[in-house]
Amino acid sequence: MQSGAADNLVHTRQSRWSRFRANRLAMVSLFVFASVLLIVLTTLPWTTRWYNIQSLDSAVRAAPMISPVVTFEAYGVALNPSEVSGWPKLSRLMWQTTSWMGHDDLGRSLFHRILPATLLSLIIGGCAAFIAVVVGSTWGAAAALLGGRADAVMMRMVDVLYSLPYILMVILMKVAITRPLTSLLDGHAMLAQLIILIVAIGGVSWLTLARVVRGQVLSLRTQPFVEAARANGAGVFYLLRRHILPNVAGPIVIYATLVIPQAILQESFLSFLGIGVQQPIPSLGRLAADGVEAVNAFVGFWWLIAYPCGALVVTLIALNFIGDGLRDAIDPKSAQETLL
Amino acid sequence: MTAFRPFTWVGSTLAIALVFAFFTSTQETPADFRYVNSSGVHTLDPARMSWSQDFRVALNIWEGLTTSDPRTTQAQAGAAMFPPQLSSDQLTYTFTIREDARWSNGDPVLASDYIRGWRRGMEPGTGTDYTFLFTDNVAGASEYVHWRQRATGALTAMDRLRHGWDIDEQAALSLSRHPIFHDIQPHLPPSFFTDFDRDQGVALAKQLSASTLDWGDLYQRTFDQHVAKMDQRFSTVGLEAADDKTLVVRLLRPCPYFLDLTSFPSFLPCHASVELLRESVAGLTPEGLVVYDPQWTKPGCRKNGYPGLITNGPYYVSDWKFKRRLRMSANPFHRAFDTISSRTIDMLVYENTSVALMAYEAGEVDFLPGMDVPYDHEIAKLAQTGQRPDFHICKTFATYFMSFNCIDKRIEDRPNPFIDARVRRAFALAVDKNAIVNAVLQRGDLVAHTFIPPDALQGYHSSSGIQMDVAKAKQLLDEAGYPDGNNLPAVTLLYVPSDERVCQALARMWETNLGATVELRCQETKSFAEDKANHRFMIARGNWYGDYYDPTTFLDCFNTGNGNNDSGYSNEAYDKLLNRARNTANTTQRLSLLAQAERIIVEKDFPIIPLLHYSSPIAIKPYVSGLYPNPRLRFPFRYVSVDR
Repeated sequence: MQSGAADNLVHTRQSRWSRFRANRLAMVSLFVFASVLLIVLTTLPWTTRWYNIQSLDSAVRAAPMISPVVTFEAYGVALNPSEVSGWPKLSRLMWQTTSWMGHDDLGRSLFHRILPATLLSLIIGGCAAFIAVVVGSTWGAAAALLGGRADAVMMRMVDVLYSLPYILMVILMKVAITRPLTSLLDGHAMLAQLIILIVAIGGVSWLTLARVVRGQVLSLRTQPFVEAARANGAGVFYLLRRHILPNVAGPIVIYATLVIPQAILQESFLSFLGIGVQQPIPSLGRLAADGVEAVNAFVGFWWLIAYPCGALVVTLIALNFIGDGLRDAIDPKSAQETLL
Repeated sequence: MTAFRPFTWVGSTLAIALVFAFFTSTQETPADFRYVNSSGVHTLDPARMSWSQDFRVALNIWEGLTTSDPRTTQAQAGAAMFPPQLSSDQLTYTFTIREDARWSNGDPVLASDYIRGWRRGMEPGTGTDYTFLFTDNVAGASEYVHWRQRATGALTAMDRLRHGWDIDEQAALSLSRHPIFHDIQPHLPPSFFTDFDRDQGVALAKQLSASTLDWGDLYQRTFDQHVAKMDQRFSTVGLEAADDKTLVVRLLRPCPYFLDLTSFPSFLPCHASVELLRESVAGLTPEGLVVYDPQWTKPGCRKNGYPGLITNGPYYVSDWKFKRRLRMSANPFHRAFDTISSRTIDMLVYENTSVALMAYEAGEVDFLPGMDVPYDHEIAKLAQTGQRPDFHICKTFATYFMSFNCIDKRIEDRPNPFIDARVRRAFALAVDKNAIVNAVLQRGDLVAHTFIPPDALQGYHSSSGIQMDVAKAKQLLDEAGYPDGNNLPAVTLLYVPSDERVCQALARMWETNLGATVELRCQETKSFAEDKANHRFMIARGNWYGDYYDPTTFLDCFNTGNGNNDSGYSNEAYDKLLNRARNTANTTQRLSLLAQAERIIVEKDFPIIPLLHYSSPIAIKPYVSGLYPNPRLRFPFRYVSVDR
């Protein structure tokens, strides 16, 4: 019985992966997303030091071109020789990319800003999704399992939070915890802002998941195999660990992959409104907002808007297709259909 | 296909008729000249206004004793003969109002109308930000305003007490400063004496709220006495109508720019009909304030037989759709009526400046008095290269700067390093102003090394200020105990969204040149203004537009205790120089004293880093004549003619 169940699990895992692999769009998206992540992570040692290097000369609003319009020495100022002693060649290589996407209105390399901006957006999305998954699934499962009045109260709380506009909640959260958190973090205002942003976005994204999980758990609770286990004297935690969570894992994973792009969009929107990440830290929304200002009826600095939006679109579409692929691969219903 | 349905016909005919009626009713005859005001009119009450958009309307519908020349903005003849008689001690001006000066209903303009307008400017309750223009210049005004403020404070407190309400310490303290307190004091416990500080004020407020004195009687006595004395007290102010057409103004001290001041909105006249809208008993509210129904500036207000807003300028307000449009029509009783070519003027409201620019490009608008768009550098380029001859650059009488907080207090739980003048100086020396002006903004602004725009004032010569010097800056920081920026707490830079680029560049300069850590704090305008006024910042952006042609309009900002001194800067030597200049009649001597004062700010103490003097782009359609780019952005429309 034990080994049979494990076999079954392995079997379903394999079939899930093969089903995902059969989805070409999802596979391409996975590849794109993986390469974005790889590029962003490997360039981190440079971009973290270079994203705010301003050259207030001919580089201001310089159009994209292959060879950099700033000198290596100009960048060298910010290079700590001892730190890069082993990699001056890599640094030179990296510097070659400076003007690929043009320069912004302070002569900063747009490419070197988009890279960490993408990472920041992904971090915010990932963390928000993590918060949403942990809080949402715990809340939903607890409500369903506790049942009765507790269930009613918990779900009404979700309803109330749902009915509030999330921008308002984010602003309220920011106002309420910025000062105490900043002093708690010893005055690291930037870090505090990032944490608040993540908590705020995560704090409004878990509601849907709580509902989904509750519904799933409610229907699972009355399934014969759960009732059989309960009749055999299984406790709540055993039920959760053994029967319920493995069956809800599918929807949770799917939802999580869809929360990430949602959170990235929300962050972009908040930064666009000026209540997100504070300058000069770049995020994709912030860069797009700066770009919009530069687009006008007289002279268009198209690269300032095109590249940040391009990066945003590529990341979002890739994540969405991956999420869709996962749903098709894991969703028990579609799995049943294919099995039959 | 379908049967004839009478209701469909009737319904659709009605609908078409309604739509037609709707569109024809909003079709209005376009005005002769249309300009854009980005935020709508805040108020048309000259005593309350402090926004340049409001000033622009006010100076076209009212006429001061003097007005300003459309090209140079120097004082020229207004409703009074020019120049007025000036006594030999330079303290008494005698204005003779023109015989043909008339209000928009035909009434002659009288000297008493000016006194009424000026009195509104200084009365507590009607006057606001610019009361100091009277108290600093007109003899007796300061004493009168002070007397009034003391009485209204006490009356407000007693009015609450007679209704059985509690009062706060502020009200208790103002009551304790009024003479009536001598009658109250014997009824209080003996520990209470005059001259209370704040803590005692709280205790006093409790005592007064709990006491069983006959507040109704005390209040009434004070109120009656005050009303009885009011006109007699006002007669001590140096304003006198010698006859219907002669206004004599006595000054506190010689004021070389007084004729410029009289063209300022606070010094506009006010028609007698406004008294119809004065609220409550004996012309005073229970708090002792003179209050008018705020509707008095509306052309359509007909309360109490009020005929609607009456003005004496070249135009009158004929129609005002709040937040949409304000129409001015030529005043048929104005002496220049026959020469006014633009008979109707529309002030259109476009909240978004980019949209306003689009409307201008589409020919919906003839004049943009400001083009504060995010891509203003492109506008400036088009204007400078002559590609768009209809874009003009106004070198304004204004300065953009960064102010330091000079007050010794903790900000966000960090010590404020800028209480040390050496640190302020180091930060000032490390700024590359040329890069800010020429690379970051690219608007063609003038790099500022001084607080007062150079060459704007005749006979005034600013000192040269300082040039960028990073080595010197580092040395100063070292002397102050922050070698290479070590030990320096993270510095916060407070600004509003439009300063984004400049502030990021500044932060980077301080980080690379001084090793400082700079945190950027972008806030929306309202909370920014609040934080700045309450000194909750380390470095904050600031700007100042000169109100009249004299160095004091700038330098007074750093006088100890001045309302605009957000830096909290205080230097005895500086205050003394300003005070000496105030009492110096000789112009050359006076200006040199003021120049010495300015040198303290821009070469020694640095409460601010002057960055630039604005160049403001404006757009005038080529078919419009009679509008001239000028440093104070004053545009009298009576000279405008439009030839489409």
